Amino acid sequence: MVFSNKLIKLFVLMLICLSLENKALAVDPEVLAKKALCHTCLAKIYVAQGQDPEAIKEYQELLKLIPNDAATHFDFGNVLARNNKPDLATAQFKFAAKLKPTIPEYQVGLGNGLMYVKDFEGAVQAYTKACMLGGKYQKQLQTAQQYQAQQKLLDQYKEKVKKQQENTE
Amino acid sequence: MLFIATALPSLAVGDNTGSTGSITITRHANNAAKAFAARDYKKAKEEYRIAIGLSPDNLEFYYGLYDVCVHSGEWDQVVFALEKIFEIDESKKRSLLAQYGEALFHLNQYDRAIPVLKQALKEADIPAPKISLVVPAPMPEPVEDKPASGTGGAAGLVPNKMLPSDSGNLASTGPIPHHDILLAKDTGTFKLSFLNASHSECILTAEYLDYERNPDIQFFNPPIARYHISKILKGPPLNKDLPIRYEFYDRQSSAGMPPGWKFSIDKMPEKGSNWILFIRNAVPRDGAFDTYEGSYGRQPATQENLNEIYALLENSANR
Repeated sequence: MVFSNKLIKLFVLMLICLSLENKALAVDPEVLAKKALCHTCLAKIYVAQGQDPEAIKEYQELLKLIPNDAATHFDFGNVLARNNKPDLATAQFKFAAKLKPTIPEYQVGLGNGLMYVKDFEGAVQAYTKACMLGGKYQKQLQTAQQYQAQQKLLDQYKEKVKKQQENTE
Repeated sequence: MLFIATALPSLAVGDNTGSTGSITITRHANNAAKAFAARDYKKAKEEYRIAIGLSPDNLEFYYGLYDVCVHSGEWDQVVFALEKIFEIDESKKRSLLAQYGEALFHLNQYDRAIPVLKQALKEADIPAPKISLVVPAPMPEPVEDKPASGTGGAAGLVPNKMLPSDSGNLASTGPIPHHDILLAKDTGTFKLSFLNASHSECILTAEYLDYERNPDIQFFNPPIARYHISKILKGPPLNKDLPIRYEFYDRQSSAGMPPGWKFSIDKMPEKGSNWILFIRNAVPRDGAFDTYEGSYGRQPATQENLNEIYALLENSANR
């Protein structure tokens, strides 16, 4: 009896804690909007002024507030790409392309990022999608296809060399 | 959660206009509100400017001007209106700092914008000023009082009545940023989704043909694009030759005109390309149809998009 009373009290305490946590996490949408607005403007200002490190900080804060905004991911990806961070940029372009798959520019951003990290097959897919969405990115697509073909030849050559080595051994 | 994307300017004739008791001012304010509701921002701005000229200390007219100019992207006017609001009522400054910073940003006044935006972030928790969002019905034209017999005094004006406001039921808030922040908050995009677009009166696929040449094509004065309807997915049988007002932005966005934007033919789609058009109202306005939320209402007619639309239409039909 005492044991079950304790359990009940523990359960009630947990419920209270959960509700308090939810309340703490609940953000007034107006406040959220205001903060997001400020960070967006600051990020764009810093980009315009060439202060990329500051811009990156702003985008990081902004994405904490609006993590599902495709345009922000895309813009952030561009800033990262300009700052020689292709891996991080590609990740941002991936988010953007996933959130808004019908925007050709996001596919192109993804394609560009994948080219940097030498995922030519992925880049071809991304550029193809961008072209299908009505964008004029045939040139990028052709380049990616050429790289993909080259990569295939290189892989085949490496495979051949490896086999030869194994045979001689 | 209801997001009121357009903060309709208040016409609650409170003490200020009540004290002026001016028919003319009320008329201009009403005209401004009507023009705003009809999205005729140019006229709304003009009417607010006249009302301000006649009653320069009326806070709500500056709010109205602010709101109109945010919609039309006239950021210099936005700054003017906000600075006047701050001048009249200092207490409003803290809650409108973010909007002020945004306006300065759009004017490329970065050195001024940065400290304002940083301060706004610190004070973001302060709620925006409360003004009514309801556009009251236009006041009937008051009848001028006839001078009382024998008094010889000036004809008195019928005092303006308080316009009804049911803001008690609405979460009345101040001018709300109506731009892509709303888009970002509602991650599925409350307005900008196929689900919401599918409630348009017309949904169709069409081939882009050309646009009407006009020397005055601007970002906010879009050209009329000519489409040829391929298939009507929903709605009345419109004429196959379809004129569309080709807006360059989606109406949820407040990014405004990109700096250095200039119209050129590459802003238009490729001739012969296929599009899904969501036409909100199957009634043309000034000889052309408006698409759902501006540029969002034109989507590429890809397999993916078409499938999604068909699924939505099918679901709504099966209800």
